[in-house]
Amino acid sequence: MIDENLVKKLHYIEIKSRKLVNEMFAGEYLSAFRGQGMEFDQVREYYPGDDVRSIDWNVSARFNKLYVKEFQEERELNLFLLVDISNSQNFGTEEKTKLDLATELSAIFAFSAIKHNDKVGLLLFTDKIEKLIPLGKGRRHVMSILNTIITYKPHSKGTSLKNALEYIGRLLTKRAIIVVISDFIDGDYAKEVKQLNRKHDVILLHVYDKKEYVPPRVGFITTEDLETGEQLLVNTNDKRFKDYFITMMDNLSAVKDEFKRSGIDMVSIDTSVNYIPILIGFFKERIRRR
Amino acid sequence: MNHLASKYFLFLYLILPIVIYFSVKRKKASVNFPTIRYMKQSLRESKIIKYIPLSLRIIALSFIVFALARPQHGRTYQQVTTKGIDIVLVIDVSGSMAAIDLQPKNRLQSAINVADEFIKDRGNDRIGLVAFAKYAYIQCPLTANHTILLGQLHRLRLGMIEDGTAIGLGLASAVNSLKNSKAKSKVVILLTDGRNNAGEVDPITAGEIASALGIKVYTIGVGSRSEVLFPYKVPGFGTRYMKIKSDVDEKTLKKIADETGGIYFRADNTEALKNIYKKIDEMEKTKIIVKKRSVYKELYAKYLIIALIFLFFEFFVSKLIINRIV
Repeated sequence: MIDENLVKKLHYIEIKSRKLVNEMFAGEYLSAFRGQGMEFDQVREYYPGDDVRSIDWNVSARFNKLYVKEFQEERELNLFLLVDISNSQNFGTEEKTKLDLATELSAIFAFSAIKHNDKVGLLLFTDKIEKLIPLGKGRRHVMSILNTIITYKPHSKGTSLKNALEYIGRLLTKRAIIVVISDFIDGDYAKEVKQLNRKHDVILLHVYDKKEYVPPRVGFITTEDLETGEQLLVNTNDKRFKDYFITMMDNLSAVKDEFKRSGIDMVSIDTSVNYIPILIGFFKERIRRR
Repeated sequence: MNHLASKYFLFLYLILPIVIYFSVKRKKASVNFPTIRYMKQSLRESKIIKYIPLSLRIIALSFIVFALARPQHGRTYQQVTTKGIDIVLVIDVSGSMAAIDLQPKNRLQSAINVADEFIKDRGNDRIGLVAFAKYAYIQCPLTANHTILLGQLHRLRLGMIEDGTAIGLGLASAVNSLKNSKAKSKVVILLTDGRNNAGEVDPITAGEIASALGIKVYTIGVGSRSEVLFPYKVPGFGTRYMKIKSDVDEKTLKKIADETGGIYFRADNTEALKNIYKKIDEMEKTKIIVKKRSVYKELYAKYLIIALIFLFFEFFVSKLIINRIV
């Protein structure tokens, strides 16, 4: 049951994100998540064959003998992707749905991770825990993660971030970078995020569609909730309708501010814009804050 | 006069509640949106706008159902030229009809009263009247104008014709007045209390003519079988009564009736006479063809147009005002 289109989509995502990872995010990922990358370990005598660039001239001058600096790889990182596949993620008025964007973002993070020999894991969730792929390494592992995101058919439609965050908190014993990719259309989840951030490094990627926050004015219209199927006849030209979305945006910025104070990054990414500058900006911001 | 030609279609109104139920329950064409469940908590939807399309549709359906029931405006034309029966009443007005065995007054009066009722019962037939004694006269030709007929009936008097009993002549006159009749059924009701003793026509012969012309003759012999009191005036002594024996020529009357397909009846009192007329009335009833023409104007178009207007509005509201982009 291999869908031609899905295979194409998977390849496209792989190529695009590997390219991006190699060309643009290589340094940023490293510095944003791994500090300077290498940890100084020791100085030892030079043996022929050592990289001459690693010669420590200071020490060599003092002892009048050639010494080289030795570095140790930083302790490897675990990256866990929490991807919301609730039905609201299938919303998209531009060429991409929120889930498409979430997949691409997942690919970028996953390829960045394996490039630096880190482990990547995946958790797909709705209001239930849908699918778990444990931490692993290598391109094949990443491809299977992406394949799962693209092809997985969720059993449920709703959203429960609380559920997923609590689950991952219980699951991960070692410190990890947890990237939550969701539209964050859910009830209360702030407490669980903060709780999780105590041990781990939580990054919230908020994917959204423009029309979600600025719906078009089309008069009376029957709307249906993507997750619960509830129907509501609304007057999109009504001021109260417009006000609702202003309130929604205000609430979102309030939530963002709250997380910021707790040292948690929440980045909003529009499905219709180029996310590369946003991601680079986000990484730079993290490096600057160190 | 308005009425519904197919009123059983009105039972379709019972379906309307089902239509309403499913329309309310059914999911409407809609635009999917992620945050509706939260919006529902703070935004109230306009119930009025929401149910306008359904209401319009229900009104339209009601009119359609009503149109299906075929409302009609009807006007009934009663054709007065009834192709019913032509009846000639032949009544004996000879002296013997003065016998008082038939109450309240005498035989003739009873005959008149019963005939009066009979005529009134048969509003759709042409009826004629022949009176006879020694001669026979057409008292009233066949007519549908029963007012005149009744007038003529009540003008019958004893002694208006020279005394005698010309049954054959009376019957012949009746047959004569019926001979050009185009009615499907032609009937003579011959009432007498005596025996043919005058006139040039033999009753049997008259019966044969009637039979040949397809005329049915009901014969009624009047008079008690026992001796009856017969009044006669004695100058200076007033009215005296004389006992005489009734002499109805039953054999001849029966023969006439048999020959023409009618029936012979014997009436020895008023009640019996009444019953006889009633019986004849009933026997001839089925053949009445009353030409009643009803012209109906169908009114459904009006209701269908109203329904279409409502449907149009429903379409307009549900497609062009609500859900313009669904």
